[in-house]
Amino acid sequence: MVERAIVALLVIVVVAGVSFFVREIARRRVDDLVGTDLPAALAGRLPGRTPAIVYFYGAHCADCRHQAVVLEQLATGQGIAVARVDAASEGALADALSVMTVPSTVVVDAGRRIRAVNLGFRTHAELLAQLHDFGEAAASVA
Amino acid sequence: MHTATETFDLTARKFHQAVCVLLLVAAFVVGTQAGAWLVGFVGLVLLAGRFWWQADLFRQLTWRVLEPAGILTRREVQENHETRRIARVMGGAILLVCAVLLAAGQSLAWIPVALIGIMISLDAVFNFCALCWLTYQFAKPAIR
Repeated sequence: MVERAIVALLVIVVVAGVSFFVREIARRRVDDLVGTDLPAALAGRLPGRTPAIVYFYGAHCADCRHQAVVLEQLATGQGIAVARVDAASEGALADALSVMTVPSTVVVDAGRRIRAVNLGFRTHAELLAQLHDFGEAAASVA
Repeated sequence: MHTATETFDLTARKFHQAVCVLLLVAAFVVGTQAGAWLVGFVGLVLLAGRFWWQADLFRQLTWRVLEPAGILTRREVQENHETRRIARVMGGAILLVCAVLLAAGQSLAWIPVALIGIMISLDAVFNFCALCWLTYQFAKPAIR
């Protein structure tokens, strides 16, 4: 039993170490992107000059359906433009923005500068807070 | 059908996940025959609890005992549980199969048990959806 406990402890330590390492890499990739310009191929899909969100989704992703509902609420309630990108079929764009899972969202300002990269589902409140953080949230639609 | 405003008790989820992982670790430490029962128990809670609230034992413990006693604090957050429900059904079924294999002396069944424990842990600690990540990785084109 002692040997098994040691093995279990070793597995836990290794998994924890790898997890923190991968998260740190992902965090640094995201940090490197923040403040840079959105690739032109994506910027061209966003209408107008208001804060916007680029949304990477997958065809068989259950979380993506929920994320789409949240983004629809932001679009109709706050006038946020949303560009949808199938991450599987447009892999180059996904890779350029360090998308490693779906759903992922990239928040950009009116100048199409990247302000946040979210890997995984984000709530309405979280996305709205990110949009407000850089103080350029669109006025609510009456 | 989910709405974007639906909230869930985050504390109950994390407690449920923590207990599942602890029991799986304990099962491994205890050994193949006795551990098989623990693995089967966790698998049953995962599977049955998905369809019958009363069988979701660890959440029931949280709501009926731990939160009313002030030991844990309820925290409502907006989450999507659709993927987690799919994952728990898959995980529960696999654990039940592994429990049978372990009881039959097949030690290799600890590998899927460990993988499921790791995926539950990643969700509990980092809110990382391993199923989402795996689905995306397999959906990506093999050649760019």
